[in-house]
Amino acid sequence: MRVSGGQAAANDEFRIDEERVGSATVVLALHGEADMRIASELQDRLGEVIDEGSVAVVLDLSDASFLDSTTLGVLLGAMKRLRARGGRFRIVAPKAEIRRIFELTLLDRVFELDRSRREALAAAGDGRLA
Amino acid sequence: MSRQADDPPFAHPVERELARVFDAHGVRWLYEPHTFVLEQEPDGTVREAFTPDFYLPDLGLYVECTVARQRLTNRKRQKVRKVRARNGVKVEVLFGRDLARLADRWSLHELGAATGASGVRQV
Repeated sequence: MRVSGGQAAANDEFRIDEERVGSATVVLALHGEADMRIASELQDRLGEVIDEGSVAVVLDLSDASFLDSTTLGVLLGAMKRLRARGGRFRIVAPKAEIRRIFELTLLDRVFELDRSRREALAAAGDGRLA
Repeated sequence: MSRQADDPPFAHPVERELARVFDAHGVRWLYEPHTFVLEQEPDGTVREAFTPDFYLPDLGLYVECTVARQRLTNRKRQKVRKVRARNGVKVEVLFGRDLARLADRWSLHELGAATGASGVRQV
């Protein structure tokens, strides 16, 4: 597992944990508040895992406390890049306050949201943990 | 970046409340920033145009909200289809039932009141 804080030092609650599941699936778990201050860091991390050849990316927001539209824009960009390569992008969003932001921005019509990491991994095609 | 939700001029209370909801959730928005010309006379006179209520710049998404009864929204639906097809932009429509559902689901009382105020049957 890889952990980074990076630029998020300015936002001491934010961090990204990375876990590889199998050969082509990566789970990025966001902790804390994800807003415009960390958007470029998140964009870089997502770009890295996509460029490294990940076929499925699971973004786990179980421990995220806030997402703003800048962050949502980053997620949209990552999803487009991944889908263009035939990949899959799943979002774990069990908390109501996080699901709400997707619904209010109508992005629940765009993203595939799961209630748990296990569910997301199964849907992403790596069912070994499911 | 966003205009504040108290800023005029919103055409309908539901738009003001939706702007407040966006503000409260860190969603940047612009109110009616673009008008898409759909039909023009040969002399350039605009015969039909469409101005979506909101543009969410971080998401590249236009949002149109309407509290007219569903059966009265056919013209708006046609315009949205035209804009999508001709301009290749993303436009999502929030109908009265969508707004009422969101307001009910997330306890957005002011939005619910603004939606209901226009006589839309809430479902």
